[in-house]
Amino acid sequence: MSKVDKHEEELARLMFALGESLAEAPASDVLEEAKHNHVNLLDEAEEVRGILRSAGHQYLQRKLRESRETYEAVIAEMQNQRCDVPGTPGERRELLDSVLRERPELEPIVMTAQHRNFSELTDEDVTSFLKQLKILGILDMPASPTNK
Amino acid sequence: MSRSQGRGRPIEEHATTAEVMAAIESLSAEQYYRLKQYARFRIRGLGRAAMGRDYHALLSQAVVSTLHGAEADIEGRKWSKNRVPFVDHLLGAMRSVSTHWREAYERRGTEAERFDCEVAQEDEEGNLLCPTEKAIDPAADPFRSYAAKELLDALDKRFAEDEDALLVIEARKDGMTVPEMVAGLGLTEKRVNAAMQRIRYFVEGML
Repeated sequence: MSKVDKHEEELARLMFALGESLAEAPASDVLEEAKHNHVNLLDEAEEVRGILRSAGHQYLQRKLRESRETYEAVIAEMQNQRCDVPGTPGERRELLDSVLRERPELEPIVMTAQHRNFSELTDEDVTSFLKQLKILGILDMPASPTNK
Repeated sequence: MSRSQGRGRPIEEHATTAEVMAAIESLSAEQYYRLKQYARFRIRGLGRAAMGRDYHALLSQAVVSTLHGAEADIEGRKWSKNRVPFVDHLLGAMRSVSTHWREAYERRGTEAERFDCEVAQEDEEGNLLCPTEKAIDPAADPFRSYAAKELLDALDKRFAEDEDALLVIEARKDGMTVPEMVAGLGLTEKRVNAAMQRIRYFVEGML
């Protein structure tokens, strides 16, 4: 059963056709129509610009919020994830050192402006890097979680 | 800035999010007015299929769809900024969005033909959601139908002595295009466009 009857369908076709004729009309015709309808074009422009602008800002804010939520979820997951890392600070530092020797392309990731020298890395930094490398699948360590 | 290149076609440059936002601010007063009136014609044409949405919602969705297109590879509507003026892009986006709304409306309504126990679901908080509460009665709406007939009658009355306009109204109600009217009704394109403008003058006062 159709949801629209004959009159509604005819009116729809006519309205869509009027819309298309307006879309194709020269600017002079549109200005003439606005004048005929006693429209204040500046008020109309302000209203429509406001609608478009508001829709744009709301969309961008939503995307930003979604990105932030995704980022926070990833960070939370990384913080909660427990990985096997060697038991002593020395062993951990040795492991990271050996990884960087085998994969020198990773060095710029670890040695940022904040950490210029390997020897300046704290054990916390070393453990954090090892965990991140493990999560990224770069570090070849046992996958089973521990209670550490 | 994204680019796509077909065989033998010039490079098509799609606008970025920032370029879309900047373009929103750059239209002329006449173009803003044209967009609004176009949206109002589309919403009036949708009738019940608009599902309570107004021209505001249609304009907004055109922007959202364009911004989505600026970010996504496939989804949304991409503005080919070097090929299409922004106002024409938004008109096209509104045409597409409103057509989609109409198709979605036509597909809806079967929820009312099923039992609640078949379709009810619980949300994350355990609230029972019954689609039938939002379902559309698939039967035609006599009030909408009457309102449509009233407007069509008003047009007939207003243009009773304007033969071109009457012909154009009848032809448009039947879905005829301008070339079909020119070929079949003995009108020139100029006369058709002039008649359409007279009809717009009248209808715009009733939107």
